Amino acid sequence: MSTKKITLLSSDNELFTVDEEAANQSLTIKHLIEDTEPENGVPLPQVHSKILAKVTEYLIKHANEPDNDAAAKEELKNWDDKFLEKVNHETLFDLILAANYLDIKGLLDLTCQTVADLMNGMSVVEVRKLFNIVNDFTPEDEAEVRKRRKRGTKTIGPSNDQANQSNH
Amino acid sequence: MATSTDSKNFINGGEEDQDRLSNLSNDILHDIFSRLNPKYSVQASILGRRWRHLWRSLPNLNFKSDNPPQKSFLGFLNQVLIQSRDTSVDIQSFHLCYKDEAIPRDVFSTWVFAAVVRNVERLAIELPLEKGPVQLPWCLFNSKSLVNFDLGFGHEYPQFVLPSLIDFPKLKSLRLRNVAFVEDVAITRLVSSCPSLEKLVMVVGGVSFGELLIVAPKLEKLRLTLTRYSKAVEGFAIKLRTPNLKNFCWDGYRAEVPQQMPDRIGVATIGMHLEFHKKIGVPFKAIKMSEYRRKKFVRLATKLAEAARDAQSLLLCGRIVEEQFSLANTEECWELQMSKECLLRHLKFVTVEGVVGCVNEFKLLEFLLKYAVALDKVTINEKLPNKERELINLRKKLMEIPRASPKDVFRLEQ
Repeated sequence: MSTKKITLLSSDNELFTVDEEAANQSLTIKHLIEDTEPENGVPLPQVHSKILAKVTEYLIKHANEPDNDAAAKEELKNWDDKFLEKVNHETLFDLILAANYLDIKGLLDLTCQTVADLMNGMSVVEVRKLFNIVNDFTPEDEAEVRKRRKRGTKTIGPSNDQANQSNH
Repeated sequence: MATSTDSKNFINGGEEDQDRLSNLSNDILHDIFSRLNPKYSVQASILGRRWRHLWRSLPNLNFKSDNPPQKSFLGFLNQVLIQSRDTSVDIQSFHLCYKDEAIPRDVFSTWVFAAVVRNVERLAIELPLEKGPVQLPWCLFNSKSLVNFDLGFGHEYPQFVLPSLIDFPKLKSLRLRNVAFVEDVAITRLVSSCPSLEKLVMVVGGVSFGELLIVAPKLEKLRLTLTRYSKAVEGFAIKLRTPNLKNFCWDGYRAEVPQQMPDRIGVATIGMHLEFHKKIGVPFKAIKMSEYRRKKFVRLATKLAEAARDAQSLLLCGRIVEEQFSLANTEECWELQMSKECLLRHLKFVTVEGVVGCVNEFKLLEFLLKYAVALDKVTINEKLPNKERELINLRKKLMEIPRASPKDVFRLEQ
């Protein structure tokens, strides 16, 4: 087992040390190590220490994913739930951006799923409020979009004339 | 060193009251949207201008009908998949699970077509289909993009019609559940047309199996289930040309066992389904095995041991049960088989599911204990109620058997 340590450098120059195995879950970091062999830590100028701390916490926990152990999988799932339980929206979106930039599939899945879970079952007004989305439609536009949506869901079975109508 | 103050590039917590969601890139928004119930992803088109057309270009479409189903579900599916689809964007995955009324075959075909022409990579559809053979669009069988293909039907076992030319160059995982084939060579032909295939799961009916040949150089996992809608002729054999096979599961209805079992596989899982009748409110009751079946069972057990010669773990599922078994007769059969030299050098894990404490189970376990020198763990799952006493007896008897492996191996689960 290799226990080589990798040092990560946040945008505000804070250092984080993790095992290579944990760090390699981020394909971006993995490639940076392979390509440049940085001596003073892998520079991640897009990630603030506040977020990188969370990211490394995730990486360390997920370094050895269980294959066939149902109990361990369950434990990890519970940990994931807890991991994002008390995170505010700002941090959640920062984690999404970080996971995307660092190319950590597991973390991106987890954070995107969390946002989707928040939106599922909510009305348009509720979603707008929750995420501060400004309704920039003119009333006519919005009526048009609503009308189109309603019309489409009425037909059952594929129908060509509907397809033509919906085309822009 | 990073001292840039361009806040746009910083993942460092923005200001409150900002619309962070709308600021995400299309890729990430698509990812989030693919996880939404499709109803809500379309609804989101009203959120704002940024959102208006996103749902028309989702790369991953995941439809699951609600319970109870919504009247508009199918119309909605057509709108998202076909009518309003942005035709310039490929569909990466299309998953559909629908369990209510039977779907007309031409409608089903249209959906598959819509996904295939958008270069779908993962296609998984499970639904009941109207009666008649399934004729899928022929372009499906020449898909250059398909990697995962999973098809499951209701209880009708529709006949699966194959075109003369099949070519799935990228297909890695093929699951066909509850379909019927006209002849066993059709299966051989289908599998041979998937040179990249790594995983194959088939639950089939309709064929008279004489000899089933599977040629798949990269295949690692194979699970075959012959249902009661299929027939295996006497002397039926499975022939595998699968040098990379690691996991093989054979599940023959009524304990049909191929005369030739493939050897040299990592995990052998052999399911032995006997015929069960279920009346409402009454627990399963086993039908008596005929004399033929009894002998067959012993043969099957030996075959199984042969197949497991190089296996590390063995899972026995289905109930190996015969309540009215004549003991003397059984002993004879087993002694005969056991006298053959047969060492299981690699076998480490044995799991038996649905144990009822009958003679055959005991004999089979005795057989395994006697010859498996490296045995590490035997897990016995008991699922039937009111069988505690039999189980304790079985355990007691098992403890007395001379074991080839020095370890304490038993684990009883309920």
